[in-house]
Amino acid sequence: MKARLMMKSVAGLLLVMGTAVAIAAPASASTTTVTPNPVTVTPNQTTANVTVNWTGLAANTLVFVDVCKKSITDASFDVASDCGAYSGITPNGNGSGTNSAVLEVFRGQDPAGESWGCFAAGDTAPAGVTKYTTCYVRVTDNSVLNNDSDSEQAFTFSVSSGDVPEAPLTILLPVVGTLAALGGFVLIRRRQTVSV
Amino acid sequence: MKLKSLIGAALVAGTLLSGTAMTSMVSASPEPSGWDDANDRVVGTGSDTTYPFMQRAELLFNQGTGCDTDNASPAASPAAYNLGKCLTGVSQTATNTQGNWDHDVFASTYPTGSSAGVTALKNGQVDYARSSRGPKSSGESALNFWAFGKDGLIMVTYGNRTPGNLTTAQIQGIYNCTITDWSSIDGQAAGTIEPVGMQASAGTKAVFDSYLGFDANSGACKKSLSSGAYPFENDLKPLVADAGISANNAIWWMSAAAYKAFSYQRQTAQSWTVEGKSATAGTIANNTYPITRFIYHVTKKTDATAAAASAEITGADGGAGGAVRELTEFMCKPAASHTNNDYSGKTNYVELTGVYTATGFIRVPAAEQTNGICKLVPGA
Repeated sequence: MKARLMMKSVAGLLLVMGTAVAIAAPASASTTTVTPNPVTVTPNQTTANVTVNWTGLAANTLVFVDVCKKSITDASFDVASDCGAYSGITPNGNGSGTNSAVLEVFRGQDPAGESWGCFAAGDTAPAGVTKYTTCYVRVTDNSVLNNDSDSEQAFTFSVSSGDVPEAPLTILLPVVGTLAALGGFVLIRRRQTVSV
Repeated sequence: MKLKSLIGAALVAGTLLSGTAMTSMVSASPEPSGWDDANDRVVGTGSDTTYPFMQRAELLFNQGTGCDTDNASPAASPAAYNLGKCLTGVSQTATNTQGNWDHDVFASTYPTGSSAGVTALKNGQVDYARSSRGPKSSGESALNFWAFGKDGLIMVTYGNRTPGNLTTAQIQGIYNCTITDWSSIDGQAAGTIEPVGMQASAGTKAVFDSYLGFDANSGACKKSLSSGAYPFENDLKPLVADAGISANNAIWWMSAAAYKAFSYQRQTAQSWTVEGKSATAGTIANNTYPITRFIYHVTKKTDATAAAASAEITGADGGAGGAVRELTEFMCKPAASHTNNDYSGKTNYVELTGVYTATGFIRVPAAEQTNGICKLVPGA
């Protein structure tokens, strides 16, 4: 009798715990990552391509990927006001709900001309433009207004010291050296052929 | 004598008071403008593509702050009916003229197609028109086309076909029936291509025809619905439901905005890239996507017009025409000229931003704006 009572109590407790967990669990099961992050840019670079990976979206449903100034965890988040109007992409969904896409993120004022932008820490925002040094890539499905499936990844910019050379010296020097040696060898062989 | 003096003084005072009252009876509405203190009922028709946008924008305008109104019980005589009209004289305490002073009421009727709407406006059957195409080369000289947004046209397939890339030449070939099998397109499994047409009055068709260089409904291989009618734009449901159209082999075109915004109309459609470009807001804004267009609010020139590069809309001073002038200004003025929405507390510029997002369109890019935040294209 006592054992049955205990079992009932444990079952009841588990039920309550399960319900509590179910209630506490967020509706969204999606995840988003941005690579690279921080996004490395040269001093004058205003856009950069990043790879956005997502999981957990609905299968075969249109995907919305946007650059936002505010986190979706902020109660006042509003996609119309807080995400760039010109900077989003809408890749086709696939059968698994897990995929990736290349997104061009902007450094500077919002390309749509609104009074905010994503900046590196040392950047100076134009007058009247609010500077955000942390921006967010938000991903959702079905509709850009869908806040039930969305997830995000914060990202920042990191400015490199200077322009990255198109072909670094560590590659150029051996290549030039090899070509010079080959050229010399060919020249010597041709002279030998002519003299014979 | 004393009585005479009193009567005289009373007469003078009465005259002065009535004079003051007469002066105060002058309209309180701000001039110059389209306001006339009367709340006009104004009707527009036309585009299916811009219907959801205009409905939402009109709601914001209808809610706009304005004059204090006469809320007394309506008089029995229709001539004396003042309910809801602006109070005049000292009774009028409102001063904010950046919303909807007259409390005019706009309504968009059910879509008829851009060209049908423009024709109805020309014929005086409606007060303004919605159009997803620009003006024709002739026959529309009495009209102004106010571009308030931008869109692209996308190529879509559904069923089990996996989207890839199409060139302009391939799209032309599909619709002129010189490319008839999917195996002619890179990476596609064989199947007879079924290019679906569109109802002739649609601005979305006019833009696509212009892109193709010929009538998209003219090819011998084109498909219509089994009823013989061409489907309305942007709504895939009739195609999906039609047994005469092969889900795995059909191809169609849609508004990129409608595709993004309305999943029920989109159904299982998937978009193709064109010339290697996806139709994103960015590629539509900078015209690197090959098929872009503006969307228009169309007015009579006598109702709403503007000098070159001016954000100031001029035109009719009252009536439905004046109301159209004010709605045009509402849609085209920059953020700083808007006032707050009485219900949300946000500015109407922010509220309109929400309408663009909800309906998938983007504002006219700064480089293409000519009057306020719109691009004015006068009809010819």
